[in-house]
Amino acid sequence: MEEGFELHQDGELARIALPAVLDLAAAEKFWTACANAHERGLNLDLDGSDVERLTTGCAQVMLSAAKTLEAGGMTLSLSNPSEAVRKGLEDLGLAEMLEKWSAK
Amino acid sequence: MSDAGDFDLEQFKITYFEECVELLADAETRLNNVQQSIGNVDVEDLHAIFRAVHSVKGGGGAFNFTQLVNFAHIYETLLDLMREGHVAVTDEVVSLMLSATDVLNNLVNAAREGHDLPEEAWADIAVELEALSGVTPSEDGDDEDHGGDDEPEGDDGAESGLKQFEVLLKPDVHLLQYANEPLLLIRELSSLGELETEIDLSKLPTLDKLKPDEIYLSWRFVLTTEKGEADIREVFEFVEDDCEITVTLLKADDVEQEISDAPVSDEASDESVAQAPAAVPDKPAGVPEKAKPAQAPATAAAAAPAGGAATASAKISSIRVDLERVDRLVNMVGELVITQAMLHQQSADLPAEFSQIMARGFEDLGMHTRELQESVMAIRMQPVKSVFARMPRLVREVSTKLGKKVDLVTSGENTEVDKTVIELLADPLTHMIRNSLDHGIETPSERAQTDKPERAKIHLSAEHRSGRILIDVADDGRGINRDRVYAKAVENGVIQADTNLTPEQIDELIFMPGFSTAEAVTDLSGRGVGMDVVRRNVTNLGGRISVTSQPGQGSRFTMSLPLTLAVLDGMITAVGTEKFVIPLTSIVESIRPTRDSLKHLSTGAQVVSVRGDYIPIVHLHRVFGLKTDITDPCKGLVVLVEVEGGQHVGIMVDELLGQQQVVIKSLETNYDPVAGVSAATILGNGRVALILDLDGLYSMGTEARNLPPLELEDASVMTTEQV
Repeated sequence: MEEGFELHQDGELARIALPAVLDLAAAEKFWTACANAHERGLNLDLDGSDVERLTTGCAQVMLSAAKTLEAGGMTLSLSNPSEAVRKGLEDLGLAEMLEKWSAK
Repeated sequence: MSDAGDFDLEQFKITYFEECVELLADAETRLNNVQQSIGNVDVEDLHAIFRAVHSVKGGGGAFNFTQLVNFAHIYETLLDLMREGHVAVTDEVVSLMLSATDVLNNLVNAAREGHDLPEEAWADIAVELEALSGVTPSEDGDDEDHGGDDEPEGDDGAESGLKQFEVLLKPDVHLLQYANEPLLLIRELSSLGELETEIDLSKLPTLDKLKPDEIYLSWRFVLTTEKGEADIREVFEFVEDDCEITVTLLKADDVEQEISDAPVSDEASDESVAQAPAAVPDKPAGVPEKAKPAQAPATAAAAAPAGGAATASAKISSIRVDLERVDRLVNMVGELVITQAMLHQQSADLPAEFSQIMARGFEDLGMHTRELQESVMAIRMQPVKSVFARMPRLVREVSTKLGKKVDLVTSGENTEVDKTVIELLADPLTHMIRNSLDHGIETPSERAQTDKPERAKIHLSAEHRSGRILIDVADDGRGINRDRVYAKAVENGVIQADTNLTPEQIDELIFMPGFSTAEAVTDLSGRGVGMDVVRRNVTNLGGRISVTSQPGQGSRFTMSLPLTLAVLDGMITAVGTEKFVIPLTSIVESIRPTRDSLKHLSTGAQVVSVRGDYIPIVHLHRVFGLKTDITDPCKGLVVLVEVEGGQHVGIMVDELLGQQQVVIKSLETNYDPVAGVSAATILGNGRVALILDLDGLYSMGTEARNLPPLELEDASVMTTEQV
């Protein structure tokens, strides 16, 4: 498992605590972690409380993960999104997604 | 951050500093244009300077070079006001811009070295910039303040009134890999007004097809703002090559022009900008016209057809490559050429049935190798612009110091030459221009007396000719004072008092060692470095330098250099069992002299009469102490070559073996310098052949007394002194 994206399984739910910096270097690790959850057929919950910086690359992985999981009948949710995550997603035009993921 | 991340950042930093050098060099050139056209300034020059400073600032911000960013911002603010027509372009303003560019250069250098500059190194200029911009120092950083204290109300009318723009942003798939972040662009865009954002996820793949460092998203924004299209495009300035950006005016307060349903087009875009100049109020004298749509920053991106796949791929048109890698590639291709030549030669020894089969393959291989080599060499070719760009400043500084008024005109800046040659070009060029400024150009009062325009002109040009690059420095000064040069040469013992010289030969005297006509050693061209050193340096590069002059009309220095220092087109010649390479570009003709055409001098030199001229002959077997059966020029061949100053010399060889492109191997690096030899190469048979230094041989030929005696069949005509 990639450092900073440890996947903790809780029944049918995989939880990933997102690290403080979600830059392009982190996107690859994030992608690996999400793909791992998908392979295991788990719903994915991302804890965004520690995130201080979100970039487009990681937001895109989040979007792709949601699309992939939903296609397989699974879900993606976002818990405790920090201000950086909220602002980042809103600025990118993803306010609706933020609301949808946070609602779960 | 991980080690890899640190490494990436360092790489980006290196690239950033490289770009800074290019950007500031370009700004310098543009500044020179502005200086020369005060009163009729091309606004595109101001745009270009602004873009350069803005780019330096933008990159600096990414690395937290606070001091650099702050100063660039202050400078940029003034530039913005100038290009918008709010600050007049005067001598004083241009002078301040030059100082500001210097400071910015110093700040970039300081950032590269990892330290800040002391405040006194930039603060005064910053205060002057702010004063001119009408910004008090405390207001520093306010990007919105474009109004000078002395500006009439409503001066920014061009931007006044709310407008609504549609902005389409479609990033190239590789955008993220160039460290560009759409989120930052969006945030900067939103700082211009009220922004509505729509994201397009239609291209987003599922995880199995997603590459995390590629981008699949695109955006449509609707921006309600008081700003103009230029401000919007400025946001995307760094990414205009990596994105499709379309800006369309949807609605303006004064022009009810609903075109939201219209397809995105250049016309719409042009229209939006075309309104701007009408609102510009009376301008101060010397203020340029506002940018036309075609000249606005980032219009190139807008002009591209939207959605074209071909456009997207064409945008990634260059990459930066470490020079060491290119050098390694050039070297390896050189080795490949040698190996190919060796194999080709060895195949000739095979039995006929094999050699015929292989001949065709070798023909193709030879062709491809040559093509490969040319392609690799082309990678290292760069325009001479980077060297030419340093000259305006030199002219400015030196002419100011000398109290002369000089305009530098350049042409052919895009002429390409190998990077290694470019690096070595700066010194001789600097000296040639200094020489023109110091000795050639007259003071304004002197020029007035001879009915010349007050401002003198130096024309610096470059062009390709016969596989070489020709660089000319021509001035309209007083020309070479031949009487003074002659007198000085006699005084210095360079020539005898009664020597008869043609005007051209007198001009050539300025290249003689230690020659200087400067009455006092100045800190300019008379720094103890004479034109002889310039000639030697140019010659060491495999080049030539000459001068022509018209008294009262000016002088022209012409420097001819090889396009590359890595390969050479040569004529392979044989002397005994040894092979020598004569640079092909120097060869005039080859002859077998008749007995009557040969004469012998008391110095031991032998000359051949060719169409009335006596040309010294250099016997290679004598110079290099070789054994050969052919010692008589009438039985061998004399290759006439041109050396420095247009002189000719005959190189005596046994026979000519053929033309070949050879890979140059430095003797100094691999062995030791050898008189009469400039470098070495490896031939097809794997043996080393020496490349002749023709100028060196010419000197040796004219001082033949230091060489072993000739063993002539008709030895009675010889008088030699054996050493």
